[in-house]
Amino acid sequence: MKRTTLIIFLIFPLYFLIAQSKLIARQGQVSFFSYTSVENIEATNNQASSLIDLDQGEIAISLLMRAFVFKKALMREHFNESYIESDIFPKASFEGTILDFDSSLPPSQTKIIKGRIELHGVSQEKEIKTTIENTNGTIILSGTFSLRVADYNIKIPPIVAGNIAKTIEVTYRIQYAPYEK
Amino acid sequence: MNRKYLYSLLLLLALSISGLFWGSLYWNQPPEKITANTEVEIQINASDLLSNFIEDESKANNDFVERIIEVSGVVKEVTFLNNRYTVLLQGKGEYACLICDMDDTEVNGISKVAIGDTITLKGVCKGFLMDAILLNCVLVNP
Repeated sequence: MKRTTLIIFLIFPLYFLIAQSKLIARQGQVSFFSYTSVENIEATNNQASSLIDLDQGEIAISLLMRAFVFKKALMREHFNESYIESDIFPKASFEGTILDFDSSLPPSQTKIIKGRIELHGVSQEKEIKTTIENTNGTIILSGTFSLRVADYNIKIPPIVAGNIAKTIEVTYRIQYAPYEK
Repeated sequence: MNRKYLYSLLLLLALSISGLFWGSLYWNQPPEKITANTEVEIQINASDLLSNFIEDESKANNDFVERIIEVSGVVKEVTFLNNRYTVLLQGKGEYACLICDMDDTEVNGISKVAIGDTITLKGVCKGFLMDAILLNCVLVNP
């Protein structure tokens, strides 16, 4: 009995440490904006999933393309069916490493995440600037970056080419909680 | 200018204006909302829905994605993040849960929902990441 108790006391803090070194987000916000003189297109996804390994400074983000919310029904339809082809490529993801990550988590640090974005079946290397805020233990990653539509094999018909920007601005804000299984 | 030509011109103008008007209405139509009267395509409980996605995600995508689903389950958490209310329904014990993004009209109903309650809601299924995701959710018999 004593031995079992000892093992539990030895293992439990280790498990606790491992669990604490990982953070999870289920409701990250990712928005994109396309600005042209013809029209502006904007959509927001509030259900991006993400995991951060604080020890390794590694991060993974994934989101469902169909979970982007548009102001206009027709924009959503064109996005899912004609451009992103959500039936064939339902998810987008990003995996990367936060360079020079300070795992002591000061109140604010601005870093570069180097990794790969997979979108519309195309994987591209990407460096993303991020602000990592620590407010009373709540970790929030936020930032803005741009994506070239052509880099991801997204075909825009010539008739609507003027309506969609060649470079899309992406904004994200992801709030994390400790990962508890 | 003869009268016949003038009438043709006026008719063409009227048709163009009408076309622009209806075209603009069609283009600017907001996404359809789910209401208490919206017909449900599938009724299922949260843990069965999650099990379907965990066992065979591809099949579950075909069966559930973009369908209006009425789902019952136990509330794991209610969050207010990014200016949106979300109800998380728990599965059978697996870590995955069902993320239900609530419609803006559900603020009053949400205020009565507590952790551990069994509730029924309907929404549009969008698929599965670590969790299954339902958008535009409204409470059924709040």
